[in-house]
Amino acid sequence: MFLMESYLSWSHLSSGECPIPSLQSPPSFTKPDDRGSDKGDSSEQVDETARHPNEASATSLFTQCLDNKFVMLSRTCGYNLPQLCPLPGVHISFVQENHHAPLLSQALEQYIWGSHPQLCTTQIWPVKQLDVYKSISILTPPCKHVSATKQIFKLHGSITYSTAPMTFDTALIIEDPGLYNGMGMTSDCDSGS
Amino acid sequence: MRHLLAYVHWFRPLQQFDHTLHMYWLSRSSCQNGPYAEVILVDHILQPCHLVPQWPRRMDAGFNMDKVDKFLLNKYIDSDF
Repeated sequence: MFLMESYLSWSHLSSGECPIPSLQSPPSFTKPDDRGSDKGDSSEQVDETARHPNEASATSLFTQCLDNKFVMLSRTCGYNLPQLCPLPGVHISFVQENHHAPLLSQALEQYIWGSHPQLCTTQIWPVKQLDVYKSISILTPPCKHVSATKQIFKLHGSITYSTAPMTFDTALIIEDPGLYNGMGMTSDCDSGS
Repeated sequence: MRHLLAYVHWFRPLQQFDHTLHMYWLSRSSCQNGPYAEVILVDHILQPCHLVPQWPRRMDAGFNMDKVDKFLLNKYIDSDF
């Protein structure tokens, strides 16, 4: 395990790049075709990809993600929800009672009051309706020691159905984007040791 | 305007580091005898992670995962493998 840590540290240092770009950069929804329309730029890009095959595969994956309608938060990070909502217009009370979300209405109120102070008098009634999704796909930056195509993860949050057992996945969440250094949990563990 | 939100139950911040295992110990965050729940923007989800539960020494018939309160944050696994 420590050999793997050393390799990853060396790999990131030798490439001189940040493995995960900061979320503070504005969301980019630009398609690759829109960038660098000059012929000179495009030939230069070919040379770059020839020197860095990993970047070429990352670019193709990026294009593929755009085709699949991923919402890109940065060059290599994004997410995607299913095109069709499996549970549209579900009452909040139903979600609280049947989807293991007992504090949903309070949490929703806190979020609205915190992010939109002008709506501080808004109350969430149990009869309000939400579109509920059972999973979300996350696109993460490429991992050099694993395949470059292994970047899309699926997070599940669904109750028991006849075809599938109950699943609530765990995830790392950026609590304060202003403090996030772009290194993920490896950085935290290294700095904490 | 469409808001993509996620309802989450928090764990406590990463503070207790195990120098032998090189991993963090985690426990569930609680509030008023219940889970500490919050609604967040889905933009803030970084990546999935794998938790290793600290199993009790003896498990009875009524055991379920809600009774486990201590976990190791496994930074060595790719959870989608």
